[in-house]
Amino acid sequence: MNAVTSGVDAVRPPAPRVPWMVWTSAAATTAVVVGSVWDISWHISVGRDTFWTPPHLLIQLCAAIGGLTAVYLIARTTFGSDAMARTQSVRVFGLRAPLGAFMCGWGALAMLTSAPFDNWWHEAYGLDVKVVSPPHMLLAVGAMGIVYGGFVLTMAQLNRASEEVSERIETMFIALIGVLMAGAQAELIEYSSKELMHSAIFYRAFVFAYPAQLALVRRISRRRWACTTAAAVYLVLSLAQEWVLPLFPAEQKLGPVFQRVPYMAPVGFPVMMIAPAIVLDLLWTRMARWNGWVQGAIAGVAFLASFVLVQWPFADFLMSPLSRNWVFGTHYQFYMMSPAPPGARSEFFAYETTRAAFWRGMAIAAVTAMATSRIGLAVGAWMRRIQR
Amino acid sequence: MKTRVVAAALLALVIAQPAAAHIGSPDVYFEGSAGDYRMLVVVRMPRVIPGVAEIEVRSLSDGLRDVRVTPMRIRGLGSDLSPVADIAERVADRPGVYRAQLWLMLRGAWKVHIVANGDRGTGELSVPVGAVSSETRPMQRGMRWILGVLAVLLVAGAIAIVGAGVREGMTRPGTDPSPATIRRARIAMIRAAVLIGGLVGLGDLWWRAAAADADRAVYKTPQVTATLVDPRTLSLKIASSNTERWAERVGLNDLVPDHGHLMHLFLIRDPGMDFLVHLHPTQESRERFVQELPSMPAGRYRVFADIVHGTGFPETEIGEVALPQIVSGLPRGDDSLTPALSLLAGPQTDSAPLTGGFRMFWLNSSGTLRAGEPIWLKFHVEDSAGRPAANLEPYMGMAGHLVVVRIDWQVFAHLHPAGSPPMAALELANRPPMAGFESATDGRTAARDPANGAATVALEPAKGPGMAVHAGHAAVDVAPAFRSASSSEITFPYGFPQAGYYRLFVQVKRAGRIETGVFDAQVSESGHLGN
Repeated sequence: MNAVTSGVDAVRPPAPRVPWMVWTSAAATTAVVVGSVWDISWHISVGRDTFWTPPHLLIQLCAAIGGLTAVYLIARTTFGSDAMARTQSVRVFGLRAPLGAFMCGWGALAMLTSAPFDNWWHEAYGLDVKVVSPPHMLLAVGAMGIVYGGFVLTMAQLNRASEEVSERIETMFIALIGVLMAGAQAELIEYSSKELMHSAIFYRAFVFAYPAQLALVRRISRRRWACTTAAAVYLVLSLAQEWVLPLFPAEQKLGPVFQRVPYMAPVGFPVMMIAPAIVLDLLWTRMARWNGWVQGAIAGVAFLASFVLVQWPFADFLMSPLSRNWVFGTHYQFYMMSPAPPGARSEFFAYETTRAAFWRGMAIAAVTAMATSRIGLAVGAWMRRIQR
Repeated sequence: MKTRVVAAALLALVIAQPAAAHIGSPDVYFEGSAGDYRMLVVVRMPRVIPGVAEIEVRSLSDGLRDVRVTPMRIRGLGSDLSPVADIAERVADRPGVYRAQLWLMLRGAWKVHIVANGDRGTGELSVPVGAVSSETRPMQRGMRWILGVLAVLLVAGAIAIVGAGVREGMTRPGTDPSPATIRRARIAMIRAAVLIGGLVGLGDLWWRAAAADADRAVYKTPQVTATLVDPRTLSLKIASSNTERWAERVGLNDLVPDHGHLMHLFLIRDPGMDFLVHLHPTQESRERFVQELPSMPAGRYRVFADIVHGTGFPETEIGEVALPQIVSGLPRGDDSLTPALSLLAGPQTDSAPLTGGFRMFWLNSSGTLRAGEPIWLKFHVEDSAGRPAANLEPYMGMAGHLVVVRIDWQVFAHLHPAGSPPMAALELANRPPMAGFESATDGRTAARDPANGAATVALEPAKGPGMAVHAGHAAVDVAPAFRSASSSEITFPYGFPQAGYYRLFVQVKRAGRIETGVFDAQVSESGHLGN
């Protein structure tokens, strides 16, 4: 009997437990998100940066974790003697490793490539005046490679282990999506100011990232309030940066200084992502088994409608004097913004100059939300099926 | 030598490289005093703004302990708030030399505020700097290869990962992918290749758009159109520079006088550089100036018009004009004309005849000149008996004016004993904040002459109650030559920007008469910069 049992154990995958890759994935994701938020705050408070500023080191830590994870797993699987590991691997360019390891390696290489590219970009076209540039996009795509590579490593283990995703790992996964949402807010800072919250461009920017994240977590998790939980994590983290960063002093190291900002400026009060998260969780009980394209379309429209419905009036509040306190932080300034209007940021700015342009923008936002929701659902479905 | 000069002259190109003020000579060389500390300041400008300039401060006095530098706008929003000053680093093997970086984030008029500390207390000085993008360079060959290989690796890797993800990623461990799965994987790879190709294509469009955007922000030297409107009157129409995309726009309604004149106009005969006139046209309207020409020979003339804006931003507008022989009088006031031997006659290097048997000597003529290296160009005036000339006097407030022109017209610089920044910009840069320069908006400018006949520019006290003139700002010593023991010697700090052949026109005033010494210089490629 013992012999039979041990034989069964030998072919059965090990019981689910939190594998080390989950922790490294969490560390890489957290490093790049905290680094990004800190970096944006650095740019709007201190101004000048180098390759070696602390936020940049955190972003590089993400690349290092991803790269080392990849190198270790590829070397161990390709050249090691662990036959089991080889059967659980995929093959790329003759090398063997779990799929997620290759994704991490690819992400690290992309991040590495972005460094000389960005440096050359500065020399050719000038120092950064925009967050969104081709080399920065390559850096972001590389970071996403590492983040999602970590997710794939995790999901492959869990998908093999059992049908039920273990509580701990699912909790971590949902939390990491919340962490990613906090990072996305920092990256969208050029479009996220409260002055733009009554313009379509604000919503066009946010539907680029957030519906996919909510749809992904919705498709992977089986918890009733998975999206709401992720949005709550985002809310807490975003509030933390809003409340903690200004506690630290800052002095401007880059001119021209349009106004003195003696604190580290936060990236802004969290947007009301909790509303579409709740709506998606509520809708999911009905639409869980529907066609993916229909799910994407409904999720996208529901996302945009509920987001606009809550964010629009909330923007009115953010414009009011009641929000100029440490809780909502609308009195914080960026040193490179003019202290006089329109830089004073005390009234809405109509990005779209005509009503038609506004509605065209909102229509683009709706289509984008549907598309990114669909992508999130598809990636989620794929991740549920990953075996290696 | 002569053949080479001629050959180089024949190869002359018409289009000049841009630089704010001067042409093709963007770096700033300035000798002045921060309190009791005399120093030479060299600012090497980046090719693109926003960018990082390098500043080198060489102490010419004892007792200096540390130097702090801060780049700031001269005028406008942000000009009254400074970022944290950078402590310039001492250069290890060169005592008294300090270096730092200057981050210039906007195109337009900047100044470097320098604070010197040492045994003789604290002194301050501001040096104006015109920040413009001069070119966007294509990617270097090596970098193209490195990034190209990495890009191919990333694209191939992404496609391979997609294939592996579908082929084996979806297959249970320990089992081989089915033929159907393998087929699906191939289709997925083709789709991924198309998708990635599309994304790379979009990225390429984005890149091109960003590059075009940067190109549009490159400063283009504005053109001045010169026309002879009657037998002896030259009409000049100046143009706005292409600063529509700059945060700091540059218009034409804010010109300020430099040495008492809104425009310093230089006409140099082409080819040969055998005739120079230095004139000061009168502004008639926002963009139109007129000048009565002195008697001068017919020919094709290159036109260089120096102006300074109320923001402290200097420009040199360029053009060409073909003139018949002008029959008129002698130049009047501060105007002057200089006939010279043609470039084709061979280089004029060590001495130049002046009137009345006086002679001007170029004391550096025997040394090697290298591009990018700061040097004091020294000239000495002697009377007919070989004695130092004792009767030199200020010419428009300066001990002398030096016009440097490369023989292919790619470089033009108008220098003073203080260096390359225009005096008006220097004065604006050293004004206390908020003092304001009274520039008119109707096209005529009423600012007072910043350096009328004085070797030292004494700045006007700040206007308004409670605004004291800061000690460090109270005066800018701009004429070191007059402080030296021998007033017959004039020095100009400068660094030739590129290798090549240059003609130097040195203008001084003696016994009420403006005299010009003409010299030729050969400049070699740079050795190592900064020595």
